[in-house]
Amino acid sequence: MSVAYPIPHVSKQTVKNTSALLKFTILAVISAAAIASRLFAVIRHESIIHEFRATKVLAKDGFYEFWNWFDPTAWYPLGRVVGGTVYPGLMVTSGIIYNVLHWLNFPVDIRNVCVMLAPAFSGLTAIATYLFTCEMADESTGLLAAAFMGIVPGYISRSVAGSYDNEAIAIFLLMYTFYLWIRAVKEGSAFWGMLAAVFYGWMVAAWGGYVFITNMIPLHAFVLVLMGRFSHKIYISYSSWYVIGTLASMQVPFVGFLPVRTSEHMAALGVFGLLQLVAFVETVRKLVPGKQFQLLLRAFVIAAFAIALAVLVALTSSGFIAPWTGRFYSLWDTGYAKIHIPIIASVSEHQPTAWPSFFFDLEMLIFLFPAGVYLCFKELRDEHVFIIIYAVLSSYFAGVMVRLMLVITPVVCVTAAMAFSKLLTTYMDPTVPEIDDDAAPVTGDLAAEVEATANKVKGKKTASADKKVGVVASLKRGIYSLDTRFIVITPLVGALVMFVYHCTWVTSNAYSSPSVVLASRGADGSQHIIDDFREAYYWLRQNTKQDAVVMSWWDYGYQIAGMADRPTLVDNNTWNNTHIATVGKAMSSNEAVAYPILRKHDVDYILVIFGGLLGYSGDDINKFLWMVRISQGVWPEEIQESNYFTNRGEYKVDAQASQTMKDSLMYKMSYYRFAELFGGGQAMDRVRNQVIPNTPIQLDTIEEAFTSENWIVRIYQVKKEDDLGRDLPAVSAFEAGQRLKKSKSAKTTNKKR
Amino acid sequence: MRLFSALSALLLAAATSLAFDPSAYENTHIQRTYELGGAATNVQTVYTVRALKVGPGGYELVLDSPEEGVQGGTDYWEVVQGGKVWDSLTVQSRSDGKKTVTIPLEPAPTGGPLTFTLSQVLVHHSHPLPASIGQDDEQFLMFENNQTMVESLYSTRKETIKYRSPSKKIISHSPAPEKYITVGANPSKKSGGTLTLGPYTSVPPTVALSRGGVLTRAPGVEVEPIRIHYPYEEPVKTIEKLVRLAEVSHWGDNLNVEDHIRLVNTGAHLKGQFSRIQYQMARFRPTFPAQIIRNIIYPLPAHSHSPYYYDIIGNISTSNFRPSHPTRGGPALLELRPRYPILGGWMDEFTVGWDMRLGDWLRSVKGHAAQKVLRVPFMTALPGVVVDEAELVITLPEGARDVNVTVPFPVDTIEHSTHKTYLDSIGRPRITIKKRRCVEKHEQDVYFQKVFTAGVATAVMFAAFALAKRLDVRISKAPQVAVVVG
Repeated sequence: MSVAYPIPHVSKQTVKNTSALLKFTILAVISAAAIASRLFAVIRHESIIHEFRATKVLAKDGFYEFWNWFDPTAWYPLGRVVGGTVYPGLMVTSGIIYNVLHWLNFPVDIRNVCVMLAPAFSGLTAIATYLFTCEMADESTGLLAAAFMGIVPGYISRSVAGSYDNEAIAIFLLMYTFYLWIRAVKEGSAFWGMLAAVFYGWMVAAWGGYVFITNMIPLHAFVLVLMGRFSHKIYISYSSWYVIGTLASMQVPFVGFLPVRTSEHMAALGVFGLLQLVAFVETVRKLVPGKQFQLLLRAFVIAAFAIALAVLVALTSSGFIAPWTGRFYSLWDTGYAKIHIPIIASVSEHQPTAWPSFFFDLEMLIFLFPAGVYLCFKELRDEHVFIIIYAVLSSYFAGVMVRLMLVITPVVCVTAAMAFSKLLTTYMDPTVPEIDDDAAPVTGDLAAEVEATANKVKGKKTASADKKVGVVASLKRGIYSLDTRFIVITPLVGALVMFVYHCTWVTSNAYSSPSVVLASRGADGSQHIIDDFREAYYWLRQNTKQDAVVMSWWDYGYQIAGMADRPTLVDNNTWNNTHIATVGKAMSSNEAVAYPILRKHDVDYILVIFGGLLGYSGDDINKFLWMVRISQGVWPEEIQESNYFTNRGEYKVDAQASQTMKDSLMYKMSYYRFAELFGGGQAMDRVRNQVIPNTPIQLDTIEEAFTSENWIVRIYQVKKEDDLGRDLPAVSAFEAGQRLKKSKSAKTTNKKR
Repeated sequence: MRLFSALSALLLAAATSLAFDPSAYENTHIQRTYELGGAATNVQTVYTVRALKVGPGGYELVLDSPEEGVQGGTDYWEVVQGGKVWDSLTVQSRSDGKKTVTIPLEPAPTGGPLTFTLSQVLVHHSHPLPASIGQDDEQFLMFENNQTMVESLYSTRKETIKYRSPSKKIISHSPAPEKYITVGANPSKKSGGTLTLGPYTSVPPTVALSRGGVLTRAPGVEVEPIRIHYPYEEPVKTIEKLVRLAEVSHWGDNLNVEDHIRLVNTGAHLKGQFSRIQYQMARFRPTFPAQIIRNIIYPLPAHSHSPYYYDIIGNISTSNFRPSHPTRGGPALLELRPRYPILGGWMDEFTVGWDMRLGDWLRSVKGHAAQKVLRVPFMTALPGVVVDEAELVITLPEGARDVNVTVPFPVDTIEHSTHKTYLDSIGRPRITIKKRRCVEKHEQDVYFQKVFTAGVATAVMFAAFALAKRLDVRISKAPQVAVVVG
């Protein structure tokens, strides 16, 4: 047998040992790279996390305290039952790590555990991806997939050091649950099914996206049944997974009875029932031969399925089983959220994905993805069906919501690795096909590989080979010369290198800046840190009353709670739409309307983000329309979005801005004394590139309390009612030396609160 | 050394303090100068005394009024006579509340005059008046002292008291005592920033010492308070709490020092609200509002490196570090800028830390290689800043034992405890020293003598080597067999 290039002679044992060592080393290096590339944020800036108070409670007071923790400072004055309204997986995971480290006498700060949790779990994700891919293809594909997974920006975007978010551990759990499920299906073992259920339970505790698994696995089983591949392996693994997994998921208080009462979970239940029926039928068929009976049974299965479906529909319509929630509807109808639940649509990561972001987040993998799926079709074992379903579903979801790019990333890595690995193995294989008729038969595996690429090579080879027709027929498909190999492999390696460069660049430039620290570069390339957020938060923490209530838009709720340690009205856990709408109403109304709202909610300080001086575009004026829309959803007759536009329908803040806009609290607080900064010149808002009129803005019910160095954060204090019972505009008019206009302020009642 | 001199001084003091005789000495002239400041007021008193008897014994010096509470001043004081220095460590107190000390003067045999100088620091004797001012307004402080006259157990021939304002200006003051003034003379003279009271002549002893060692007001002497109103063009800085953590690492040849500081601007409170635009515009005016703390220069010991500056929510990016000269040394300067300007009544809490070469601070006792002496500065002196509560926590390496602490001044408490951290088995000895009301004069070194046993570390090292030796890191022992792959 001839080879294209010489192969060193080594024993099989050595090859085995070396590859084992290499595998281990490569996996270790991949994990290390995955962790290291996520540390940009910490090294560039530092470890900042906003919200880990729940974890602090868990670490300090123990699990039960956390479970029962009622946080009176969030959602003031409602408060929030934290233990029952969060997915506790993240906190419990970091709490366990913290306690284990402390037990080993490593007095690590809980904050550092939280900061490093995401990178550490990405290291584990790489390993889980390896295991998963090994089930689909060979080990080298697994390594390639692990490497892709380790550094792909689509995943890094949610798991940099300091992003203490549910997704940080969820992707690992997702991949590992899938791996265990595939194992279970392959082995037909209840043990693997149970393991999958345990990890599924962890996943349920960790992330709301668990519903993806809840529907993926039943769908896989269902499709296998439809394909006529029902076997006892599937029956055993699915049944063990479903029973244990559902029980496990019901242990999470936030989930509770949802698995039996909501539509999202009904597919799993239905497939569970279907499998029981199918298994029953199969068993009976084995025992009772006879064509008619079989027919009867088949009819029975279909009838039972139909009845079950009917019952389900009936239960749903009668309200016992909750229909799909709005959040899920918005996945089917992308316009749904904007109309019905603006709070969801207002989040930038809930917007439909733009095309370039696929390339930005996945680079070349997105091109290899279809090729990998195609290869799955070619083999189409049970596990390949899983990959195909996963690919189809996640492609849809990733297109609907930017945030769900995270879900497609693993399958893209796996399939791309399959395609890439196929190319590499085909072209690196030194075996040259024999030309003569009695060539040594090529082994099955190699034959399949050779076949895949033969078409291209075939034409060329026919030309160079003997012209005789008979010879052509006997010609084996394969790669003959060394230069062909080089021509293919060199660009492939180049693509890999480019991929690494792209990932590093994206990670360091796009995904590693903590949102509270801004950095700008000076003309000489020196870095200038803009730390306004923390300046203001720290001022609040040190120089206001401990129980001073701070009102801000919900984006900054966690930051204020974490850094300023003050009660907030609304925060990033957007559980109460009305409360958020109340804040939106206060922000978008004029002072006379807003003041009673502020006083009723005991608001002491209002915090707004203003980027006009510096050109920071993520400020509150740019988010303002969402506040208007959300409050319009609750008070349609008081707040109307159209009032905030100019007559020509433009959103403007300059002299042409509508009167409602100019009177709104948000506008006033953002531009209060802004024009004075320009000393008579044109006051230019650098975000919106509009000139702010320099008529002084009059604030009667609130007063400026603090403004950060670059004016990004502005904090206003709400005035108390006047001691003499006058209304506040009259007070400020009096202090400005104007005459009283009405006798309204002559009220004698002392309205002290 | 220092310890011996302290002991001998104590013996000397004990020998001379048998009985007190108010006619043993006479103050020929006392001149006291108050350097009015913010939180701290430096007081310097020059005594010229004459022994009236042969073998008069020690001079009984009064440090504080009998009426003054504990909060009055600091316990810092220092007496210099010629080349000799006495302070609270070397001289014993005769009175209960430690308000008097016996200075073992050695009067000239001829009965000639002797001159010595007492330095003291008063803390929090000035308060802002008006108590709250606008952001751009000028800040005024009111200095208040219960007793104007210098307290003495002996009669005084002549006495003058001076108050020096830091700003060359004194707005007003309460009338000066007139009791011992020459008839017709003006009891007070004000020129620029200096107010001079006196001279007072033939002042009898103002206090008396009872047999039980209690300082009491002398009969017939009235207490006359004084108030001086003056502008103060600097922020009044007070550190409410300072915790200095020092950790010794022999392996890293490092002494890490970390200061946790709670800084308060105790000047006039801000009236109304802070206006950023006003603050930014003030830069273009000739006088910037002086009462705002904008930055703090934090001097670090020579050859300090790797400084850091953070607070509970993360790094504070606004700071500058000027390391000391690599060969000439000198202090390294850390310019700290708080996250926000600290206006009157505002507070800031932060942590400053740095590393130092251990060799500069640790030495072995001659002849006892295992015995080490470590020296740690108690605090960093910031000019004019008063530390209300200071705490020094030193963590020694694991295995250090028999720790001896020598403090340069009396402290409130010294506690020994054990601290467990990374990879510790028996824990590290930790010493906590606490002291209230410290001023910049308290920047002195604390000495720790200890025996260091490297036993544990050596055992670990042996174990590691033993393990490394026995580990087989070869991949395979299989003999090479040539197999053609194909």
